[in-house]
Amino acid sequence: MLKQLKRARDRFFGAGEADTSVPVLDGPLKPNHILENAEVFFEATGLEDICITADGRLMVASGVTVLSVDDSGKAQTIASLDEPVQALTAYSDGLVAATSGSLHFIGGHLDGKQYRVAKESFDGCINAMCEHPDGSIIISEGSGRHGYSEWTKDLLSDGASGRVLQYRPENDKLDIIKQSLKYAYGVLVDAQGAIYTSESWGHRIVQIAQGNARSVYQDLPGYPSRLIKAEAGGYWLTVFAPRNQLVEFVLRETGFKHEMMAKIDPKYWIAPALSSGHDFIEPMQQGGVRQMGVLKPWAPARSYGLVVRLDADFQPQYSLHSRVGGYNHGVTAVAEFHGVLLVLSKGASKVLRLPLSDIK
Amino acid sequence: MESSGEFNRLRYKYWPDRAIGELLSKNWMETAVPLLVLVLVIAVFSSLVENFLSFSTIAGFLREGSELGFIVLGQAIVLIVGGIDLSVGSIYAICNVLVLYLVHVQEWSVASSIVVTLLVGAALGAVNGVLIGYLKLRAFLTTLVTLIVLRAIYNLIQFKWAVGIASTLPESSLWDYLGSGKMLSLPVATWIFAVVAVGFHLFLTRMRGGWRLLAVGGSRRSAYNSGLPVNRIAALAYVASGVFAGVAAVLFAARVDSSSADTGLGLEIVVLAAALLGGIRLGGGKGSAMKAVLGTFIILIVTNSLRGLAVQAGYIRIALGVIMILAVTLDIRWFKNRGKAISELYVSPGYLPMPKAASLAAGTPYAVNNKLGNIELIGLGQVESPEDVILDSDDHLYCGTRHGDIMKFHAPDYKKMEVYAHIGGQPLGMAFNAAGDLYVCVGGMGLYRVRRADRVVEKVTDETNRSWNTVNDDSRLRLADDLDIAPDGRIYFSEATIRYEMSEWPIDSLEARGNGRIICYDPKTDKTQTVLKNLVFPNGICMVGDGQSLLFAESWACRISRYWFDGPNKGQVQVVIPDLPGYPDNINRASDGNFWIAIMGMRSPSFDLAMRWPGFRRRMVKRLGHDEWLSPNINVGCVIKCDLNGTVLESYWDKGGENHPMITSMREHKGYLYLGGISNNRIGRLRLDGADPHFIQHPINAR
Repeated sequence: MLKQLKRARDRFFGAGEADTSVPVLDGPLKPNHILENAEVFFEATGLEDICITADGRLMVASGVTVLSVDDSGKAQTIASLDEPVQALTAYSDGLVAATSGSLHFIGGHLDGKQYRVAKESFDGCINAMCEHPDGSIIISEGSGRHGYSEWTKDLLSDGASGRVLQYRPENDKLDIIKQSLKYAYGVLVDAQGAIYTSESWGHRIVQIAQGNARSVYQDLPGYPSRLIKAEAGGYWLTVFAPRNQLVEFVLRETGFKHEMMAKIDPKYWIAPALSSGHDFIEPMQQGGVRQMGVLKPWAPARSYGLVVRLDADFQPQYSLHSRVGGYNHGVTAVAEFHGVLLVLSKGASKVLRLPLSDIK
Repeated sequence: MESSGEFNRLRYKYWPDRAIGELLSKNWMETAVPLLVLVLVIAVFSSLVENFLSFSTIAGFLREGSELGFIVLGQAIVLIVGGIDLSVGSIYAICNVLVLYLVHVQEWSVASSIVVTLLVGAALGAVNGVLIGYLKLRAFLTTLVTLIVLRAIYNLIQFKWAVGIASTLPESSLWDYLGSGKMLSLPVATWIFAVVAVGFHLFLTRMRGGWRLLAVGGSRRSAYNSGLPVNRIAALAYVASGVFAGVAAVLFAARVDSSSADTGLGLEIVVLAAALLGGIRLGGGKGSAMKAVLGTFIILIVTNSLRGLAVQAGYIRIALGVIMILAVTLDIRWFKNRGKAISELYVSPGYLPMPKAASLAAGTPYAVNNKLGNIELIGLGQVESPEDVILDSDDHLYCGTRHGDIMKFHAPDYKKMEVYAHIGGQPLGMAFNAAGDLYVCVGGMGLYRVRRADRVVEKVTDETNRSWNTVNDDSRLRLADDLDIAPDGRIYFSEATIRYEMSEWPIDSLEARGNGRIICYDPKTDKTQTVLKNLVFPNGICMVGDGQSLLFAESWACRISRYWFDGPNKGQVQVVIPDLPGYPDNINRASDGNFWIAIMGMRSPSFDLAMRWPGFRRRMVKRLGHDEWLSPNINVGCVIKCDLNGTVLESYWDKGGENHPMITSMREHKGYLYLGGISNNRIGRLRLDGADPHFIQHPINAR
């Protein structure tokens, strides 16, 4: 009864769970054009993830292939899988690539080994991996219902079926560390062995310990994804899409949302995107109307490019942006490589190159 | 849950969301609330109290109400100017005993006694006025002090004079007439009050002094900065309050003819409660005679009826206190949130099922191309918002700008630009008549004309007949949009919406209701008449050429229709294109007998879906800021050509929307197509292959 009353009150005043406000980009998240103006290092179709192997080589997942890219941007195919690669990480003396529900070991002493994580009913949605100091692999799975490419559907159906898994290659043992996460996307293990993941639909980074998730950085203005350690201490976080008040509002409009999902092509949903603004069939908001030929910088964004530098306590230090109207949106992965930061923009399908000495 | 129900359609068609929002935005709604309360109070107490509606009870109310009403009027003046007067009860008491003393004991003439009493009232008010107005003391504390001091003085003189007053009776017919006389069977006091209240209303709404009172109360600093004698006005308000208290005292004295120790005791609470209940703001700057009168009668009926029901005096006081707190709370909450409430309730989305949009796939006439991607630009950065473009027979180019000018670009290279005429409002659709006068629809102003001979701007019409069933007065033209001229000289023009101003027109897209109309101006009779109503953002208008019919575009409904204004089919409307893939704007004739249609923006499936979810849109408007609202995509547009049967022949696109985002008009002229856009800063010019090199849409027969 009280709950009903509170809900009615919230709906009237637009407070509580009906609140559609979104944190502003301010302080360390103050917008700039660093990402939009960055030099393009490497281009290929279907770019997904990057990592640096133990012997210092740069690996890039592009479609079904894993490429090794040198300093000049020259690529060489290392492996070709049956399905698109969804995550890539260095493991021991080799690599692990994940397709929707399987792990594939490439190179090193386990070369050729495969392990199927997913069960029969669902293909799986592995989206990030990380090596644990004890030799296991920590895996994040975004959803238990929707595939990796259907992430907007998971968001719009208030998905909370993400999992963090631990896999031990030596005995093929798979443990569930945490489930019922609001889209786990990205994993990180710190020097002490503590496990962190981004909870995208919860707009936060959580530490997982004894089956509990504890926020270490919350109220992000976007949907966080993969995390890596920075060499100078602290971490790099990619935010693959911005939060948008209209989307927040649509998330609370059950009837409209369901009809939209049932009847409209997902490309044209009122939902975040990895890139937007280049197709006139997409939904638009009043602030996005060009005035005198200019798209105003305050126009609401469905897609955005954002990389956040975090300190050792997961607090933001500074950030790199590609703003509304830009192209380098939908950043899903970063890597530090020979003194430069490589930023993978999935929206533009490009890897960008930013000398670390130039940014902050 | 499916949205497309018959229930939804009917609910949004017949439930008066729109009227409610419009009612709330009316200024008189603030007076309507106390009026409603008064009606309620009367209804409640007439069922509780016997003989409530008898003539004698009403006459009693009127008589007492007139006395109290005077004090409330005085209090209203002080409240309007931003102060408060707690001492009215004491001034009232002193004036009361004074006039009785002068009439009874000193046996002065009634007239001179009244004059002296009112002067004393004024003087006592002036004490407050000087202290507060000139010495800048706090109104609340100052009048609290004068309340106590004057009460003490009253007690002293009342004790001294009471016996004298009680032991004599004046013999004055005027005094008796004031006290118990009747005119047209109503008490004289009521008539006096009525005259003063009407005068006060005129003073406040029509005269300089009243405006100054409101100005000082509304913003003291601004009033001072604009040169008003703020101190004097504030001081005079207290003087007026004193005089009004004096008048009330005289009327009371004439009626009762005696004075007692508790005359006027606690009156300030009653008076304040009445003023606040009537809706006069404590903060100043708002108030009216009507509110004071309504508040007075509500309080009077409540207190007297409670007394009639034998409720103890203490409880009545408590009731008054509670009423006052409620009124103050409501007052503050309402004024804080009024604007928000109105803006939230004003937008009232309707149910508009959109037909499936025509395909844009390759091979269809709508197939996206880049024919406009790299066209010649005229006046880049020099014009802002050229909604429509037009050319005269000498090939000079004219367009409107958002600065309220009509610009002229000189042929042949269109480099030289001058202000052809300054109108003031934003020019939208344009057409030349046969004599070469330029007729212009001006947003927010109406239909205007620029004479060819001397470039003088003249108003043609700015109002049409008012509909009987709308809350908002729809006789004024709010957003005249496009026009064309029939062969007989009649001018048909569209008014896109009657609910929004020029700057707010995109909001109308969220309503998707029949807010627009087509209007005809007949120069022969100088009459303006609405010919078609309830159109969904009617925009472009174009004569078909048969002298009997025209084509018009309905933007948010994405359709083109034909309307017969003459001939055998007179009055008929027929949809010509029902399923445009975008939002049509202006329509003009092409040299090959077909029609050009500007598509200002494209439909998106999510926006189309939202058209069937009015509740979704209403909540969106409430919850989100303006910039966050869903919008039709008007960043990319195109131009299409169709024939009279609605068959689309070809289309011209600017695919990226970089060169020509949002096309709102196009005009074919001597083998070229000229393009305008309301959010553009340029005019486009495209060479048309194979078009008639002599075609002019509006040939001018120079006199």
